[in-house]
Amino acid sequence: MKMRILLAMLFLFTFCTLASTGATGCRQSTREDLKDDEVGPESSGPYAADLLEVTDVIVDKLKKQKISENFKAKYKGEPPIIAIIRPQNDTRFPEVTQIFQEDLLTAMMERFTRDQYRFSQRDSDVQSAIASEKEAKEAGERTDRTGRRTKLGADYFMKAKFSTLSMTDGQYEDDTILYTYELIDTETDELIFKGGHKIRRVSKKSAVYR
Amino acid sequence: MKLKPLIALTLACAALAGCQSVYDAKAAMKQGGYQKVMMDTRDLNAFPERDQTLVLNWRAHAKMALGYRDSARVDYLRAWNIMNHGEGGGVAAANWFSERQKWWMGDPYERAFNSWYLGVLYYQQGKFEDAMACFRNAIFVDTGDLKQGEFAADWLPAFIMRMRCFLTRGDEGSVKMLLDEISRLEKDKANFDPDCPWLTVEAQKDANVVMMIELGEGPYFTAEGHHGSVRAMNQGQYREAFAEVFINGKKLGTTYKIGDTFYQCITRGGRVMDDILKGKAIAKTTMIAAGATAMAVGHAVGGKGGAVAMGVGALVLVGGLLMNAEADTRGNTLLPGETHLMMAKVPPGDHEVELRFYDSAGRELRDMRQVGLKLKVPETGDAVLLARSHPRYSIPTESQAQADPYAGLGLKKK
Repeated sequence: MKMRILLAMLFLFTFCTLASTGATGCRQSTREDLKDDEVGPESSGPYAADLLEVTDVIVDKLKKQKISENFKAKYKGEPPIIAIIRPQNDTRFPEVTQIFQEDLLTAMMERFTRDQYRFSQRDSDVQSAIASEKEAKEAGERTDRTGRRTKLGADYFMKAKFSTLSMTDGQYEDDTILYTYELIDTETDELIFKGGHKIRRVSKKSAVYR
Repeated sequence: MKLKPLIALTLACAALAGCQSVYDAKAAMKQGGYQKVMMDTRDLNAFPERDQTLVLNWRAHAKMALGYRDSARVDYLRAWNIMNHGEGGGVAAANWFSERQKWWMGDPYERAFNSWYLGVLYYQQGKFEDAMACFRNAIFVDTGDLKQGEFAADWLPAFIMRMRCFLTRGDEGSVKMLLDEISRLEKDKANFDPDCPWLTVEAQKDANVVMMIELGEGPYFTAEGHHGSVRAMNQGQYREAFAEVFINGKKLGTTYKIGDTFYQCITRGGRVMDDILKGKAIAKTTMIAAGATAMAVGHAVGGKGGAVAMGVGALVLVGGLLMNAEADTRGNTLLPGETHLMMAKVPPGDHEVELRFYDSAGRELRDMRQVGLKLKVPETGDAVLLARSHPRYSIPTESQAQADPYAGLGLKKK
């Protein structure tokens, strides 16, 4: 009888210990759809799906506003040149602006032809590399095609801003992120259009973590 | 006599059930400084998963002190993601066994420090938008439920650096808004020095050098009370009370306290876990007493019924012994006791900084004097210097910023 009690206790202890420590072997990552909201951390911050959603909204807005068609009609068929400015991030989530900017540029270049829009690359590292390359060409250190070409002057700036209203009661974290975007005429500073898209995310924290 | 092996077994069970201690970063600092901490924490998988976020913070802290900024940023960001996006874990186990079974996610002040350090690293890298987000999060995690009249954020380092970010955008209005928020805070010298002269828009605009100087050792936790169920917060012991800053041999001035880590630690209210621990302590005592009583009665009665009573009593007793009511004493013990500020307008170019530290009686602590610190002030924007009063600390050179701290060691890169 006592042996059985002892065995029962041993079993109970082993079970509890294993259950409490959990498996700590190799972790495996699984590939998930970017638009899948059901996976990922329990965070109220921006998800990849949110950024894709906002990118879609901006591209649709450009199409609806017929910016390219109107510009081309005015300037003898020349497509407008757009430079995307690094978004302003007033949320509490870092590492969002760069991926958003890259994603937006990629989406625009995929969905529009070069006859509709042209894009100016304004990243500072690219700018300094271009300056060095031009200097080397001028110094005869590198080959140079006849007829110098100048860098693209943007007709429009595309600028985005992320603002947030973040609240917590200790148990829930509630973030409403407002993604605003605007197209600015670089000659006149006229706002060609401005739009906004709100996404609210709430996450629940375990009560034992405050 | 026959109960002895049973008792020995249960005691062994209790010892094993989540009582393993986490790495002692403070002791490591005493033995070999930041270098030892960085090397000891190199293999993150050598630590239990539940402690890895804390270890990441320690490792980043050491790397930052040694000048491996990029590598420190990677670690801080990884910890940031867990502390801000993670769900935690091991909570069910923590409800019965040791609280240390749950994943360490940090108290609000520890989360604020994590965000703040990450923000400073982004700022020094010129990524102001990311820095801005981090400083905002540091303020957010330092804020309670405002609807319930709880804790408004009152840790100034995050406010100051957020203002610097706004100034990079030329946004004076937002600087003023933050200053208004600071002006509404209680002027408690235990938290910050209300005479700090850089709490005006003009002073912020005028300065191009921001020195954050960390003094002393931050708070640490001990388990006290009934079955160690009370988590006591203790102030770190340190001698330094303020610092003086010299640039190129000329005295620039005295630093002002803008953050007190112990104050932040003790002013954030209680935890739900504290109530759970209290309940566990009572349950533990009750179960041990009830189990022992049942076993004694069963032994006295004898026969089949007595054996059953003994068996049930033994189970209850083991349950009580396995139940661990001890409070979790894990914490980021490498954090400073105080954060001091010095701001100045310095001509662009290379300068040499000297820091002298003093105790509360105004006596200089010579072993802490730091000389020949390099300060490069840009033509536009800020130079941000983060210094620590630790005697072994020396501000590293810029050349290490992007280096791999484990390069050339022939083991897996972190």
